[in-house]
Amino acid sequence: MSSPDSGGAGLAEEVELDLLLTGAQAAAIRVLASALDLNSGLAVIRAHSAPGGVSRAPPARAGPAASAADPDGEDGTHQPR
Amino acid sequence: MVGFADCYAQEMPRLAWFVMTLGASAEAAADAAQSAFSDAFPVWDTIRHPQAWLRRVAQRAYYRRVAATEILVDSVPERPTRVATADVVERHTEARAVLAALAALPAKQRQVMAWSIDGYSPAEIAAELGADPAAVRQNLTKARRNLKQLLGITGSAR
Repeated sequence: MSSPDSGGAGLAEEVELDLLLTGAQAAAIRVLASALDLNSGLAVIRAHSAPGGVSRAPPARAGPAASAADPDGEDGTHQPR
Repeated sequence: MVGFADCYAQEMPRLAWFVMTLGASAEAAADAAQSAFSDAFPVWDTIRHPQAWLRRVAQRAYYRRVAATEILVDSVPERPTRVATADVVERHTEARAVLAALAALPAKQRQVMAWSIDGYSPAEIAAELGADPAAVRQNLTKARRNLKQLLGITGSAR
């Protein structure tokens, strides 16, 4: 995460802000991964992209956690961009 | 290159959070993220930087929805809630506080912070948004200063 104010007296505050932001992000992604039905969402995209499907897939719906949706899988194998 | 299914499984929750940091409810964020993946699927093999591409498209989808809602607020059909914001943020105090603080920022500051939280540098954000790098850096500096104030960060251990 970028820290334009880094350096000097405000460094501790910058670090604290980054920790808070990344902690909130990690927690929210874990909850989202369990709240979104990723298997259904993916299936819908594939179905609607098939010949005869409609042009726009509806959104993923809430449901049980998808086993493939491990937000902690963002390790060295997954680049943020 | 990561396959579509693997990217969807890994990135869908992250992308939804990204849109939430732009100001969306969890439901609207899930809609925008799903819309971006839906747009990506037919052209997946041609997308060189999927994470950035998906964020640009999801951001556009969310802003489009906001604009449409402002004009057609009465025409939005009733539908079941897919992902309640409460489900996402109420369970976690820090997430709730961060979203509230981000929502209090001016739109430009909120936008650059959303990208920054996802790990993009000011130069990368400027490139993705087609914005002046100096303006991005300035907005980031202001956003972080405002966030520290809004979140009560004083430099001491919490």
